[in-house]
Amino acid sequence: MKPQHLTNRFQGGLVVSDPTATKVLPVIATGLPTTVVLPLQTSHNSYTPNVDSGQAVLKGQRLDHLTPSGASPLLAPTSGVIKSIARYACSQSPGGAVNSIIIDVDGEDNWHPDAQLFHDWHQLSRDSQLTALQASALIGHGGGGFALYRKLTSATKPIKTLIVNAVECEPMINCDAALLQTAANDIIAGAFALASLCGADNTVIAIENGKQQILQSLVESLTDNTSNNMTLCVVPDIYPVGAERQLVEVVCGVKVVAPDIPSRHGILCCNAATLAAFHSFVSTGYPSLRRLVTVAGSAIQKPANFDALIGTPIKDLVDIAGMHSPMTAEHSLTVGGSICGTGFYDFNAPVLANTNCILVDKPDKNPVTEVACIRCARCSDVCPAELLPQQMHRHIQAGKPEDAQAFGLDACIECGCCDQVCPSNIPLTASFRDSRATLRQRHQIEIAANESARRYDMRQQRLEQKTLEKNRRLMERKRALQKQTASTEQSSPQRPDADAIKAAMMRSRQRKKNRPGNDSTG
Amino acid sequence: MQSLSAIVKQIVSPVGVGQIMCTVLVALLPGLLAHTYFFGPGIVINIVLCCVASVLIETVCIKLRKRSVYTALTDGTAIVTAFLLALTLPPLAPWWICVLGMLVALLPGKHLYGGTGHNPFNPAMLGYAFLLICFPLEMTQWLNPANIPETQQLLPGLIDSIRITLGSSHLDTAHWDAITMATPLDKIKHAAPENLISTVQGSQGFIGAYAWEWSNLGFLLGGLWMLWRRVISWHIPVSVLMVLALCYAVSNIPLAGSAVQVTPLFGLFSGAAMLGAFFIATDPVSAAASRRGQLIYGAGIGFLIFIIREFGGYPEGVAFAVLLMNLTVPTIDHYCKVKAKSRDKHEPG
Amino acid sequence: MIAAIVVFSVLAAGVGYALGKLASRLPADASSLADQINQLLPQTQCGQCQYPGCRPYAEAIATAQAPINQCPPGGEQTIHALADLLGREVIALDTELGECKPAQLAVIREDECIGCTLCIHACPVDAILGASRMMHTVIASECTGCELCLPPCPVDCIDLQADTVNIQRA
Repeated sequence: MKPQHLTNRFQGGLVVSDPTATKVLPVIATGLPTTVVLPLQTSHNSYTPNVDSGQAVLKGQRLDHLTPSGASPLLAPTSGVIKSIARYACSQSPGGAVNSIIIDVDGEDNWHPDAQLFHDWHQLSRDSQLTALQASALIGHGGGGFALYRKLTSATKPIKTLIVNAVECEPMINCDAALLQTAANDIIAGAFALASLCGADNTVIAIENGKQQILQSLVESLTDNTSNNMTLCVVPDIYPVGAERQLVEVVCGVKVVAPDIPSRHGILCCNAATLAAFHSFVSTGYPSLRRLVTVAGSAIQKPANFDALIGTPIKDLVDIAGMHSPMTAEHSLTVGGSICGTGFYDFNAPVLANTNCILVDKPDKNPVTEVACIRCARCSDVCPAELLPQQMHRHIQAGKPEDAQAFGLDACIECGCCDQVCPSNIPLTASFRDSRATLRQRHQIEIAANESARRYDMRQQRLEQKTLEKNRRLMERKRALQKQTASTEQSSPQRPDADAIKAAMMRSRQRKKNRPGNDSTG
Repeated sequence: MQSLSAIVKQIVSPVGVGQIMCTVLVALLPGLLAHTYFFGPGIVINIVLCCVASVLIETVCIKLRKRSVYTALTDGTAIVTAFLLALTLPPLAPWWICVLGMLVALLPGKHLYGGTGHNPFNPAMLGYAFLLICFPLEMTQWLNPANIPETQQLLPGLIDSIRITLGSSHLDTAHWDAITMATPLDKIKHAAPENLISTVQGSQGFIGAYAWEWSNLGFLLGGLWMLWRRVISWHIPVSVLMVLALCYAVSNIPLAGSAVQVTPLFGLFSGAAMLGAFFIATDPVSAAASRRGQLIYGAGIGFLIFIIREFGGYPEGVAFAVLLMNLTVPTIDHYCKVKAKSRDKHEPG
Repeated sequence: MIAAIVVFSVLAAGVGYALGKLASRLPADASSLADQINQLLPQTQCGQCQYPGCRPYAEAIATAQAPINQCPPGGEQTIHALADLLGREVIALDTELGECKPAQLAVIREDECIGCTLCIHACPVDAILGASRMMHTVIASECTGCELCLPPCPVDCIDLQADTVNIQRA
């Protein structure tokens, strides 16, 4: 098998020199942690727990109520007792904690009886395969954190091409490289299984230029699994070529701009680690609940890739890797790579399915000062989404993030290229992320307000209808009464005793007049 | 809750605003040398005066606005403004011209709008336009370039220049002939039709106007270096120069009804065309943001330079062209939002 | 003189036509303007503006019967938005009507509820669920925190809490 060198590129991007690019950090297996933390609110999912504190749970047990289709369930990564459901640090919500399930691990690691979803994958129909995939809660191991099931079902066109994203997302992240070296066969088997599930005709494994060692091992593994419709592509090492849309553009020549997604163009792009997890799920029937996490940074003694249980507190991994000096508040913590990783404060935050890297850096001696934007347009030159960050920044500074939306704020992939080149050291990506959160919140408020208005209008309508109905009934009764009197009056001449009745009515009227304060008629 | 931006890790950028401005200053050197060679040391005095004024004014402004003086001065934007203004002033302009120009450039031009990065107009050009309107006499007293064939004139030395600038000595026509010579473009415009050809030939150098061609070449060199260093992009200078040359070419067609006898090359290498195209129009703060917008912006400047040069009452049109196009930047930016679109280059598979 | 008359007639006709065109682009009548105003109001339906709901207040603003500063839940933000839409001056909130508070939710202490249905009738958005002599409860996702259910409750069993369930209504 000969790798195919691609020279296509996408607009913008950066050539980043990564000192760790060629080195693959060792993989260290970790045992069971003492506590496991599962946030109930992640960037794409929110869960309502169906368990309570004090309850014992088993590995693979579902911990949330059934939600509308499309949402992926929350599974217990190991067996134990629920200590509490409380607010806890989470790396996806910097600065704030989110409600989380905290499990005291019992160390037994017993599977729940229903955890094994099938015995033989190949005997399942396509629909039951998809249902099983949804129940397995397999969330993409890249950075976005999309459930694999949702990715598969969001396709509007039949999938033709499956791209295996073996490109390391950004500098300092090492877990994909380690996985490729240790488990290339798993990835390839996972790719075969997924290709047959989604019906892709050809599969492309993409790896960035410059990783000779890994490329070699991939070529060897691919020669063992001879297949005609699997190709190996070497893509130029331009950051962020590991981002989904950029990789699709380089490999397939199809430009996909948010909110468009590749699966609408018949392309499915999957992270290599996701495929390895998919393979382990397909071959055993048990959901995959572990992942590789790189722990590195200038403050770490022995940087390594940890095979960790999802939900393990980050602190446990950092403790194993060791730090040069005791942790202080000045140390900078980052989840994700050195370019677009987000900072967070709390070491206790857990590893999530899409936590690929943890960086702990020594205190920065020369913090940079942010100065005013001079609109030099370097940011727009490097923007892979072809946006004008300087204009968006201008509108955001003016307090009008909705104007920034007109410049494509929603299409920003938060790659951090603009931050890298900004001569004024403006944290552009962070301000975009902030503004998007603000806008999302504003949008939610708008939806809520519209709903209240609708309910108010409906209530107003109902009350009006009620009054109308009441009036109508009154009128009807009145008319009926009138008719009755009219008929009695009409029929009176025929009655022999009409005069007598008249006389009686006259008398009763007379009586009523004499009785003051009573004007009600019978 | 703490703002997200406060905790997100900042990454040290390899190039800062200060370095960019330094590159611009270095790029100005070749043109500046040529300028000094042909017009004497007066230009250097202008620069020194403008820089001193600029630092003083900037310091006072920043102090009044309670910002960090160090950060404001080290970003170098004020110094670049001072250089650009000084280069457009006549070499032997009185000292107060420089100070007044800098005052207008920095006070209403920059700090009233919120300082660096917020000015809608090019500060140096604002200062220049103010001076040109208020002090037309002082602003058009250009020296004849040294060694011009028709006069074989000598330039005043450094000491003389300082004395003239400070006003302790007057421009003495006994020493220096034709001291109030206008720029060659001006001369051609005001020449009588029968003398036109001789006037053009008289001021003709190798490619442009005599002497001016060398400073223009110098600025072109500096501009190319900035392009190579990626301090500026090609969009604005190229569109300015292309449109300017095109306008001259069209006006040279006899049918166009214009009697202008200036060739495109002469137009590009006379006056402040190169300085304007590479150093003034490319001021990123007041220029259009998107690349497409920059092409429109540059084309507008090129066209306006031609119009003002040919039909206006001023010797050179760069300042007003830039200021007028600065006015249109918000509109250009509004219509040039880069919006990438999804597309299949070819069918996948 | 004839020239002047012609010029001015043409000018008047042109300007008149242009103005007419422009006017047709503006909201045609008070009801569509009221719709636009209603869009900007927070839809709390609290009645603090002295009108029985957001829509009636919007109609009153549209017909220039009410100033734009009578919406305490919307606060400054709403006043700015209304001033923008209507081209009016920004004025300070009429604090006699109430203060701008963070989002809140009504919660019924269910064991104290006697099932009188008075709060159900008071709720402007039908966010209270219950029947006569049955315990009532507030549908948290529908509650706007308007406080209108508080006064009618005979046993004072309704509390207002900070809104943590819904998104923060800024």
